[in-house]
Amino acid sequence: MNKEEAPYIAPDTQASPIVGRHQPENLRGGYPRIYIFMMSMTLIVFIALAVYAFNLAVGSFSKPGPGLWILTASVLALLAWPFALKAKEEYERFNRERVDKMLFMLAGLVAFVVLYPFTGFLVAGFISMLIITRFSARESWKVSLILSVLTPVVVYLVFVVAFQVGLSGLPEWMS
Amino acid sequence: MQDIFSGLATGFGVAFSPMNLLFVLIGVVVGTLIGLIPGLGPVTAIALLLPITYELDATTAIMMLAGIYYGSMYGGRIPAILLRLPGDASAVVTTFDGYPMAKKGRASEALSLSGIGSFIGGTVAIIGLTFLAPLAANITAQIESADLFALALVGLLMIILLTNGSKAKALIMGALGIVVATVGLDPITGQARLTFGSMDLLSGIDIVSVAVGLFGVGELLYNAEHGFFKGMGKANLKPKMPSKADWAVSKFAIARASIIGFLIGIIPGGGGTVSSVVAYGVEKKVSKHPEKFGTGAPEGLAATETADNASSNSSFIPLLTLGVPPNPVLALIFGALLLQNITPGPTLVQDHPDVFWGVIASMYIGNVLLLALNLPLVGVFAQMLRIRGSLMAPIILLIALVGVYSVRNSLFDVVTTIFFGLLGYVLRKANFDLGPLILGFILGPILEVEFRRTMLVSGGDFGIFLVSPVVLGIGLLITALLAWSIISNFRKRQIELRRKANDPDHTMYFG
Repeated sequence: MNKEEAPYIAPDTQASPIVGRHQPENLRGGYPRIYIFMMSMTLIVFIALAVYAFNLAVGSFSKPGPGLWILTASVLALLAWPFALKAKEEYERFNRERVDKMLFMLAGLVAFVVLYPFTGFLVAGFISMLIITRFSARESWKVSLILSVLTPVVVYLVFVVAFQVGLSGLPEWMS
Repeated sequence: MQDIFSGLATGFGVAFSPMNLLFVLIGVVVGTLIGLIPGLGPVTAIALLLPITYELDATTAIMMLAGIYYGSMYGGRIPAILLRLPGDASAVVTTFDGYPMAKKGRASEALSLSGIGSFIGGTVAIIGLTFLAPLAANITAQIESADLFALALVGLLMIILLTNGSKAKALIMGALGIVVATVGLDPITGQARLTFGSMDLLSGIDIVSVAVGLFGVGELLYNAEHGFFKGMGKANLKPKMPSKADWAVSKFAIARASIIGFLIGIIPGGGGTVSSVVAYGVEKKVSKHPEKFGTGAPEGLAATETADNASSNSSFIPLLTLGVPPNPVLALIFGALLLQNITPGPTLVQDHPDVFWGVIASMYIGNVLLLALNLPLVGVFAQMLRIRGSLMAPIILLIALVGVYSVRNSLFDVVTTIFFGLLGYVLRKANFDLGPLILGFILGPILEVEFRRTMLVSGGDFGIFLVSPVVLGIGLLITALLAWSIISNFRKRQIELRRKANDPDHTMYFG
């Protein structure tokens, strides 16, 4: 006689709900380096844009030039900048080990772009996936290798063979 | 009224074509699947699938994207109920009562109840959309450049003013989005701007690169740092309908939440999370047993999911009729329409009735499909949660890069995507909201072109903005928003200062 399986019982989780989109953790007040960096960059970028817009020709209100809109946006950003600087918020603490995983993912993506012109999609995809799966996602070598071989092949079959996307599977000297 | 029914009949004729039906089905299924992956939400789902819409005609593309949007709302509730892990921010409130129900072994009933509530809320909203959208379009049909400028401006301003966190930072993001959109050729003089001699930048930065970068790659970079979803254990989930007692307490909650979600969804910035929170709060207030909320109250769950889906459907009203995308998701759909050379707005119903009515008709169909799929197949969908995020992320990334490449066969677009992915990651770390950035990017060109056209027509006279009743009305709205924002900040500061001074009776006043 088959026993009916028990209904699903949700497992216990942490006290506070984990939002699907990760929320900042290990918060700190003050001005962390990343924030100082970003605020400095926005100031430099928008000042540079304002100067660029002037050189481009702002024109007049009766005959707006190509630089007017860039200048308007830059001025608005620069006016908001001091208020943004004053905003008291909490930021995540820097965690080197966790940031490494992000950097490996980024390295995998960059590897794809660097390798593709020389090796074609299949090899670039394989190396990119291997870096991301093994070093960022921290999967085992076996799982990483299987995924890195299968995924580019399946994607190639779907996008290039079925949908006729203009990706080169192999390097030009081989095709 | 006759026009509405004949328009709807046209729409159903378009939506029932085999190709469109197929893509609506693909949209709702893919939307549900992506929506239920913790760490990805409707914005990411739309961003990742945007490249596919290039190959489709406008009506089919928008039907599919709409399906993805409300499909992902359906999907987001599954991990929220089963694991207390919302698929997206708007499903957070779902965890309050959905998860306790699952802990009591009533996960199947919770999933069914939320699915049916979503269906009813969605249907009410789509009916409202059917009648309200053409009315709004008629009112604003005689729109001119100054009016279009004002509408786009209010859309952008509302997203900035309604953002959580610093409004000044949101304004900087909006300005950055506007500037990024100027890269390429000036639309009026044809002069190159911010191209730095690059031939690739001459054609501008593609919206797909920006969207996939910010919300796809950037999201996954952030997830990489914080750890991927570890996967759920085996779950026996047989479809099971809610009990009579569940219906008895939930039916009025569903009715109320449908209206609340519909109304809030129309307001820019008011979708998803806001509608869920408000509907839940209302139910708790009117309930004779508010103490039950948070322990597995079916009416609490029904209210949040109903309002969530109702708002995701009604949010199409400002997009289709005014050309104002009320949230970042609709901004991406707006961008997809622009790619198809269709400008959503007051003239859409006259210029492209097949698109307008086709999308509305497809929403009826998509809503039915979602219920038909989610009720019997919820156990199948839930099995997706057994897959580790660390396996899905690399696959999603490779597909995203190929998708971006496929738009213009350009490796430069892939480079741009990665750049925006890194930018999105860094901005999030520094607590900058990405919503105003994407809205600034999409609305920026409209703002610029309409402003410059208006100025050319008026000879530089700003008085032209005071002549139009639409602009005056919008001007009042913007003033009211700014005043509300200032008063709101002042009140928050007063509450905080009183709390610090230990003044619960509010007898002290602080300058």
